[in-house]
Amino acid sequence: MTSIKSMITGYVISELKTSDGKALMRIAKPFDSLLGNFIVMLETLFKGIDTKFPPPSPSKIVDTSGNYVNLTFPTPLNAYGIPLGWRVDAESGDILLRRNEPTDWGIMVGSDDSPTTISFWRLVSPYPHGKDAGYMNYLGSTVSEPEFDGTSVKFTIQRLIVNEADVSQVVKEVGLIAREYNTWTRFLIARDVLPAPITMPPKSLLEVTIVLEGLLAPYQIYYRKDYGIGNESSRRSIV
Amino acid sequence: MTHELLLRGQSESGPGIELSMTIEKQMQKQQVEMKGISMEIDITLKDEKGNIVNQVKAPGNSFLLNFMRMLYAVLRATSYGAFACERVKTTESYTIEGQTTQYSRELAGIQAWAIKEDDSHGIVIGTGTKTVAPDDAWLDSQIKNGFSSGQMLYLASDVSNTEIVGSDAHIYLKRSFINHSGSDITVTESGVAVWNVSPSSYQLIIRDLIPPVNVPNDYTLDVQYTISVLI
Repeated sequence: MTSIKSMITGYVISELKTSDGKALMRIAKPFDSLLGNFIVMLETLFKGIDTKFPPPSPSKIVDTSGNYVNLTFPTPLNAYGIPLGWRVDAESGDILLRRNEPTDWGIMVGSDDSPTTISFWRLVSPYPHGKDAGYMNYLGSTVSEPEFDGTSVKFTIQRLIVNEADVSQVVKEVGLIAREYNTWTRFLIARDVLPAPITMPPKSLLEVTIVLEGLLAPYQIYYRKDYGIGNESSRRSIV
Repeated sequence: MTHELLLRGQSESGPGIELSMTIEKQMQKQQVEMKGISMEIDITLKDEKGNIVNQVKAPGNSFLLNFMRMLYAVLRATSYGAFACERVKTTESYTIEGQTTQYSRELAGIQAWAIKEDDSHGIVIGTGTKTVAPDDAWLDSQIKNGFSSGQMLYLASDVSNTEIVGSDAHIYLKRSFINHSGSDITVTESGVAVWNVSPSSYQLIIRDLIPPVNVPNDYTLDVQYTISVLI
């Protein structure tokens, strides 16, 4: 096995806060559970569509209902381009509900800690969007633009989650669920089990930050000491 | 992480006592091997009869900034830099014996495959030796498609279906290059370029310096990238 010197990796930071934003605890772990669906997504992107020279059909992803489906591309609108992609930056659950749209995508959390396997297609025990026991109130997501600090380039996907129930609820798993732009097909691309469960007291907040980081050649970085945001270096620029 | 604990009490006969205690715990630090998307390169040299002459496996060292820009654009279904993530319908035409026929062509994706003799994207190779930099925009010195001196014939560049084996999921990007130039060519660099179909542009997302491979006339060089994630 040859050594790998460049890779796309990342880390997950879960920070528990009181209702007024005071930090109670913080857990960071490597983001080490990109799934088979992620590679299928790349494959689909790399093949694309060409009606003149049709590429071979891409593989099928497994959506969050367990169905094998091809990712699709938006219907063309004459000569005008429209977005193609798979969003992970979910709006708040309440806004999605108001628009009568599904709320089960973006960063989501659950209460199961079964080890992840490459073929996982859903969180094992997710908290759906809601405000009662057994639910979490998912607020909006933010995605930062890629930043290059001289040795790596990274961008973050962040979401605030509130336990509105009157009871404590335990979070053990974090998932990243992409949404196909046009069809609303939803599919899990990453799932991580937290190194220790986080018990969220009533009305507390959980801020989940997923940092996708490209460790770029010719730098040889195998390890990071601290997976905290604010791991500054001397050079930083938007790329 | 700091927890502050304040305890108050008061006896019946005297003033109250107040105990203040601060418990400090160091920020959690971890040092573990990281996982994620990685890649390897397999390089195979074959003689004119198809016999394998040399095989080299090299680490894929060089995801470029463009790879992350592409990921960002795709995961937000937005435009970012040169990556626009659009699907388009264009009108093209061909003429046979004076008759021009128009047809529509639909395109989408950020394509990493390419047809034979198209050296604008897919796997590309070169003779450059400049150290890889994250913001490299292209190979240092690309070998162009052709039969002239210093050129090699580019066959089709393919993207495989996803394979899941054990705890690993991967795709292969493959391409063969034939040297019909009449003299040896030493290949020292390779990369993966993609075609962002709308607006049309070609972007290098991976570039590697590889162990130099001397390709004699009429020999074939196979280059395969394996991009994988491992749980």
